[in-house]
Amino acid sequence: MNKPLYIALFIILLSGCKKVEKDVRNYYPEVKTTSVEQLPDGTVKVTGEIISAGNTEIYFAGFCMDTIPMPAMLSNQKEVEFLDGNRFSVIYDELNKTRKYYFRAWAANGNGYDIADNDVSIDSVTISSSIIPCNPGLDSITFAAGPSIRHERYLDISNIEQGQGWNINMYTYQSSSVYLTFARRPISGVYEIVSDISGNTFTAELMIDGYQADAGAKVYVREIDANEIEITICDAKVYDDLFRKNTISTRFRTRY
Amino acid sequence: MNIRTIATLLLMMACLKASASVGLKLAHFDPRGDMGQYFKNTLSYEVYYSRDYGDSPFRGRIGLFYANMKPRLDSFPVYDVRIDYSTSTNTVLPGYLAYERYRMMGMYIDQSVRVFKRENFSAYAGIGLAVGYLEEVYDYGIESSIISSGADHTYKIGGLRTYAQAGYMLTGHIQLCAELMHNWLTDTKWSGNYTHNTIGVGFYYYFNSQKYQ
Repeated sequence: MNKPLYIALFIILLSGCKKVEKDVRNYYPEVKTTSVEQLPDGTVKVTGEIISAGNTEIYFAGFCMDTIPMPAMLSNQKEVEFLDGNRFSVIYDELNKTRKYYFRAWAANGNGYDIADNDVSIDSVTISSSIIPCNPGLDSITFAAGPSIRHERYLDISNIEQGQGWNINMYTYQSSSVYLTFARRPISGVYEIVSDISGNTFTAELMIDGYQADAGAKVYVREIDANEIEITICDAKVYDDLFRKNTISTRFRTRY
Repeated sequence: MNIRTIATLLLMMACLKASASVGLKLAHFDPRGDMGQYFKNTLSYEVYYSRDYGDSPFRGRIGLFYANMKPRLDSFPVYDVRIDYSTSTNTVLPGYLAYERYRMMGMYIDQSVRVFKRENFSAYAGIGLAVGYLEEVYDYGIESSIISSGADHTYKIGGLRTYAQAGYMLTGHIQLCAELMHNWLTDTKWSGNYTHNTIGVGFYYYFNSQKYQ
């Protein structure tokens, strides 16, 4: 071997160095929990920020949530689908009005993960009345179609009981019967009327005088206190007692 | 073959050659490659037997090296991902990696060429091969996972080393040297990148005086 060959080999090998971060924290992402806001439908939007991605790209990011401060990473963990620049958000639903919830951001890159040093919290989570498109009187049911609009008032409203779903039975003074079944224990949120609740968490079935309502209408549930909820249904497509196509809007309160 | 046997052999070889020497090098060891993220700079040690070839500018060397590295963090934040194919969701499982021991040792053979000489000063550029073992003991755990923690592995490693060296003949028998070296090593199992740089100082002890050579 001659001298130029030695020198060339030396330069080639030196050029193969991989950068070493002076501060070991630079290998890992740094993340913080930025904000939490309640959305009108009773869900909660949590936002976090990637302060530094570390020395690789971000592979995963998300939040964890608990009813105690500084939740652990595996507590009700949710992963975001995409980053909006350095910011990321997820929606939490199924939150109970009577509890306080804490949220904490985390992120992972090709080297490891970071969980935020801070959390954000929210309480009194419920849906906003502004998103309910109708305003029937409390404890009333209105049949809106047909030759005349018919208002009825409830004579009896049962408490919510768990059977094959979470059931509420109501009867009016005119003996109309309303039967509402939730797929899960109803808490603040917007549910959808479906023909089969099995396997659909945020859904409910509605029966009027023994006839099943069509799918598609919304059921708005607001928690009043720890044991009482107010339920509003707007323009659900039903058959009435004369098997005529009709729509109903109703609002009532019930207890667990 | 233990260290004493090797040292005895080196001394015997040295006595047979007019321009043979033995030496010791102490170096600042700078882990790079896959090690750079995890380990602090440390000290490395080398002992070697060297032989010059008369008037030729070439010099050969065979030696042993050792480095004991300390982690940059007590525990590194690692994670695993559990995929739920029924819901197409991931769960990121936090975990830790804590090194208890990480040592590199082995032997090398290299060849250098003198590229500069003026009076007692000389400079060399060299290249060589190194083989040895990498021993690691660590604790590893992932939350909510069946992955077991703790491991004790020894890997066979090998690769190339290149260096530049400046020497000063202090006496006819002793040459002081400063050496800048780049090592590219990999292992036989994972093809890991155990690149590291060393900046060291050492000496060569020539059995015969070099004053008139």
